[in-house]
Amino acid sequence: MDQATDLAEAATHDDPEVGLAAVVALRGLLEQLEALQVKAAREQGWTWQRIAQALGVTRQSVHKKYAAGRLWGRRS
Amino acid sequence: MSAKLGDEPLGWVLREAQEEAEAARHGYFGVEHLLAVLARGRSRLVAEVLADHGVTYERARDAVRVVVGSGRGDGPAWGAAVLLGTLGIDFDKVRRQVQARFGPDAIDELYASPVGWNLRPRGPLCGPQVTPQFKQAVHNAVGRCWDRDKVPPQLEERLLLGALDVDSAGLRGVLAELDVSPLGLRQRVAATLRIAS
Repeated sequence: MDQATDLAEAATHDDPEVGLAAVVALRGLLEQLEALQVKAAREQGWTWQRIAQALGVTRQSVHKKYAAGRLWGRRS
Repeated sequence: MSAKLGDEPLGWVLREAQEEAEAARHGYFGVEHLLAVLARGRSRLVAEVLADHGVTYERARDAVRVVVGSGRGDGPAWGAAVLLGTLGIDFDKVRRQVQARFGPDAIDELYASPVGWNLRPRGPLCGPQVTPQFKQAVHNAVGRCWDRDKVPPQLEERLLLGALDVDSAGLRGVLAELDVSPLGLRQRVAATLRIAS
């Protein structure tokens, strides 16, 4: 049994430190997967409105998060 | 031009330290992993100095795994693969699927693209993150400009000295595990640098 398996088995107990760290890792992974999909959608010509609808958020929030150049007030 | 992790000519140090951490499924890479990298023998002088203190690559690697695995390192013991594994998620499979769907350089390209400009390049798909102690060790060795064309001679010796000069509980733990006196090792490395310069 390798060290990773040992750690994974050890981490299945009810230790909040491990559980919370796992949640952080999951949240980070979801953020990255979302960003990859948003990039792919934009490359396929999706509008911010359509991406926002697919993500179940407002156009403003997705634009604020991903639209480059927002600091300079650029629109897309 | 701003310095960036992975830039040559220091890229090999960062890559090998990160690989060392990834192989052990650690949540970060730091000066503990740097010690193991330097013990691999890329520099004969460093390898000899470490060997004189009883430090081989295998011993260093094992000591790092013991110290970091027990939570005494400079960062989180568990990497994303282990943590997500506790939730039943096969992170290696996710990573393979991401590479197959978006390409092998998708993550690097994401943060360099307009969509990713506002995002911080961190998260499980970026791999283990570097510690401040590691950055400080490199700073000690080569100064602030990590990406400059020329690095000083005896880079490995300087990196080891730089690592020994940072405040790292993890490295202290590893050296204790190896029964090596940090002060004695530092004196020997400093002497080696003086002789060679």
